[in-house]
Amino acid sequence: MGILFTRMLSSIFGNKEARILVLGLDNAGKTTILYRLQMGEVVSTIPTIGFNVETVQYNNIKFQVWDLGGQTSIRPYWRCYFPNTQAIIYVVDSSDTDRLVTAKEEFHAILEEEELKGAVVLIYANKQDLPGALDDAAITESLELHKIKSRQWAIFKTSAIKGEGIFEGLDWLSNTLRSGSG
Amino acid sequence: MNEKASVSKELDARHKKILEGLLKLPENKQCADCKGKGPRWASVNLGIFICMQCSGIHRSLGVHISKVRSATLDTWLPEQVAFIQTMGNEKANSYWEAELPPNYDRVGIENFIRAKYEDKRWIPRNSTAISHLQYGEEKVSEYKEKPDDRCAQGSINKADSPGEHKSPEQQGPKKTSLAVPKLPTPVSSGFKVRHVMPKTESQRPPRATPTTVDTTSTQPPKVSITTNLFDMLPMDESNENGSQQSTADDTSWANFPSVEAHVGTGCVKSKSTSAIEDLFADASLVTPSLSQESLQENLNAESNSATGDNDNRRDAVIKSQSTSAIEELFKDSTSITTPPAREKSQATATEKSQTEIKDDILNLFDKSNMVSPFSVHQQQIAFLSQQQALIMAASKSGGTPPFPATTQQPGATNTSQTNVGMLTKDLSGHGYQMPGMTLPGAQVGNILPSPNMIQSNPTTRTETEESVASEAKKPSSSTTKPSTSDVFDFSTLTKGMFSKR
Repeated sequence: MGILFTRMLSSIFGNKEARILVLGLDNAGKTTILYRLQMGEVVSTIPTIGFNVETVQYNNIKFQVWDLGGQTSIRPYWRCYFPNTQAIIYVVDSSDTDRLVTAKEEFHAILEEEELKGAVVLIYANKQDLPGALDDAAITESLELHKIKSRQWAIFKTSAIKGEGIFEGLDWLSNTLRSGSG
Repeated sequence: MNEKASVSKELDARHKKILEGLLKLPENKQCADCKGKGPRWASVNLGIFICMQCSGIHRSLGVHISKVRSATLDTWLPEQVAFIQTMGNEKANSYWEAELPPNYDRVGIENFIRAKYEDKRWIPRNSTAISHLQYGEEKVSEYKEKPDDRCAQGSINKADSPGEHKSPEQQGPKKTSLAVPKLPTPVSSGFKVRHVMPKTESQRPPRATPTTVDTTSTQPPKVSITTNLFDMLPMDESNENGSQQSTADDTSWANFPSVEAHVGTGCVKSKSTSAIEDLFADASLVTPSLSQESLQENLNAESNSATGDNDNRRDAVIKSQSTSAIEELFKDSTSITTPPAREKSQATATEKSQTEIKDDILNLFDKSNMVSPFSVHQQQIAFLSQQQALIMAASKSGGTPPFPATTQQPGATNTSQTNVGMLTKDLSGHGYQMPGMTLPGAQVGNILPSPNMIQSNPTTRTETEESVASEAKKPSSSTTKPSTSDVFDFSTLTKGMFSKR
């Protein structure tokens, strides 16, 4: 009831809230992206065991961003965070070509999830600053993004370290969310 | 990698067991970089166990340098487990910290780690060619150069299994980790001097620059030597125990009669063949006594001598070796250009007056700081060690002639190989183009710019540029490299100091 009330309120004042999950393999750059979004700075991170959650106000949308740890054995716990999620930010280490197959598998497993049927997907082809990083087209290919049906998605080349591409992606996200659900 | 599908539950459980076992080894009980206790993370391509803090830094290096996995939370591939079994902290550091001054202060661990793996500041100096192995293409050519020098064992490198190396730049780092010296190289000349010099270094407190070693110990054949060494490595890696190595060892021993007489006897008495071999490999790559010692420790553990890492015992072993070796030394001293420094270290065990002298020498070295010109430093060493040798000789059996201490001729290093051909890619940082995006249904799978995105462009653009500008003040994390590894680059020291934690 309270939630409904605040939603109505925020819709009156043009404020929207969105719950976003940042997912991806370990060492893709999820935490760095989260804090890049939140503070606009590069932080030194350690592997995330569990999650980080921050609120990011952007384009009149209040994003509640959940950054979940990506280690193999804690990936199954991602599903605990799926309910009520409006968007997924899927982060890929574009220079880790060895693990793109794994990244693809995890990605499509997420898309299968019933609870995420309505979520839009934003893919960050991250670590573009590193040597040998594949570009967005190559990542699109590797992740087989063309297989995505009936879902809004976009891919952006990003470098969390340099701060490139991340806010462009968030622009797309805010526009999509706003147009999508009124 | 790390594909879940390819590793069954049972295999994963077995891997976990193995990793747990490895973590119980004394060498792996502390972080390979910061020496923190109880590491639970690992770099699978470097074959080391590290703590969580250091793992964060390793992750920031990029997967072309280090691939971090959790020993407990991640699924490992069989070849990754096999590799870390053959490597471990001790062996890896005998390579990556070969040239590390003994009392190096690891303040600012990020700088240290970057210097260690990114700049490769402390890898064996006479092996500049190695750095080439970091990156795919060169590595291939290196391999082709000396195919014949590979030892007879043609076993296949486990880490080389398909899937692990899909792209050349991924292949590189793997090789680096293989690039830990183990087998002696079949080179009869020059070996001795090389073997000697590390000891000289070891006597010194913090060294001026890596250059010092370079010139003191480098000889023309060296580059090829190192190439040989690294050619042998894959094979080396495939040996999970020393049994096979000993055969390779035998063949190489044949090439080293003089060396055997020189040091071998001392070792053989107390060690297994693999131990010697390790020792040699180590020495051949100009390793300071620190790692030599640590290697000893490693060997003690390896040779199943019960509780192998007892410090006192290790020292005892080393001493007994050196004393016996010193006798050997003097027997055939006429033919051998005796390493002064070696004598020095051995002298401490026998003569008291010499320890005093050594102290003086050490004092002298203490005074020689980073900026002291190399040549002066070199002369000092030569002079002092000669003096030392003379005194030694006099105080010893009496009949032994003093050895010339001037045998180390500075050779020309292959500087053309110093510059690592990094895969550079024009990322067009500022001329950033709007990334492709797709709208639902409309063009699935096509990357097209969308109109509304372009509209929102200006606002975000400035924002990004601001952040880029602020970024520019900070030292860029992964791209800065000292132009040559020989120049001591202070910028790397300050690098990262300004980044927020």
